Amino acid sequence: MAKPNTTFLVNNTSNDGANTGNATGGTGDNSSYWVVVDRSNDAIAFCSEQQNDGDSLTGTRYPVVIPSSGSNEAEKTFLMDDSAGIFDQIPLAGTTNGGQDGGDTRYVFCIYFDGATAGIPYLEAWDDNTHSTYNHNFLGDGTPANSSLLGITTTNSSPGSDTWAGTPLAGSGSSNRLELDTAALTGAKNLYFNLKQVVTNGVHEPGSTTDIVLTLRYLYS
Amino acid sequence: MINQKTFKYELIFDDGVRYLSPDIRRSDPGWASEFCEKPIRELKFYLPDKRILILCNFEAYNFFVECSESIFGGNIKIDAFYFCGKYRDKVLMWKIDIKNRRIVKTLSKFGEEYVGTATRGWRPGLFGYKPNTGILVGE
Repeated sequence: MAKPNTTFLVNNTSNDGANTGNATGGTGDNSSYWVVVDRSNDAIAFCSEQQNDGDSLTGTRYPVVIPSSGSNEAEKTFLMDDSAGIFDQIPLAGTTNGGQDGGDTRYVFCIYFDGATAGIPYLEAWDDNTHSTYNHNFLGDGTPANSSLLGITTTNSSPGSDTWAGTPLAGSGSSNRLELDTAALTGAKNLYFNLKQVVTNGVHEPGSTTDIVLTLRYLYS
Repeated sequence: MINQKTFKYELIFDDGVRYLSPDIRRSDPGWASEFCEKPIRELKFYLPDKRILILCNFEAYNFFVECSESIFGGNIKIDAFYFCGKYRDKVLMWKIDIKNRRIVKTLSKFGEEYVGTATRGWRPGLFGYKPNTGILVGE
């Protein structure tokens, strides 16, 4: 149970299938396709419907629009693929309230562990790489329940709803991070989850920074 | 002089055999890979300030490292080391919190020792003794 290596992958198809390529990704079950994320140079972007799959990273980026009242789920989600220089769409991200093919889908985002852990792995969101604050407006201005970033674990089953509510992600509080499995990992395993951004009038502000950090926390011995 | 045992743990088995770990800031701290079923009598951890954390006479022991890694950018960071002793249905756990530079001792129900959840990697200790733990001034 030395420190396992981890790989982050995204499914860039509308086909809901497992990652069978593990750390190398590629074509998975049900003709899904898993892209290995370059964790040094890539990023996730939540965008409006104007952004299109394959748009150049050097072109215009269309952020999610805050509605005049109520809330709005990001219409599209992308991997900002640095090596390809494009916005690579992740069509199954989010729910049917968004503008893609998301909903009761299971295989969207994946973290592959190549070995066992001593405890349950967690996914968290923080302001930056120090993992000490969650005060960005994007994350709820210090109130985790107001975070615009919501997630749901799908390692063992799909969400069970096309409009899953999800867990608001901000910090490491037990109700504001995702348990990516139900127990410590006994060996190599793919852990799955889905993400969405929901912006709310009166809570989230135009132009607020979105340069936040998704963090994986786990135990080894 | 730098203590050569700093950031290492030492296991003293019931038959007197000792095991000194590598520096646990490395990627393989040895707890799982050097697995041994012999009962542990005592667990020591050599703190960087020359003090020694000791757990002895527990029914089972566990050790693990908590790390965090940013999915985008950022490096993998060790946030804390945990040393646990089980007695009956309770777990006494020392958290060496590297990130916040503090040591925290907690008592929880077995199976709920890490933020309410169970951990893997428990090793056998001794039954029928009164457990003892504390932090002592170093050698």
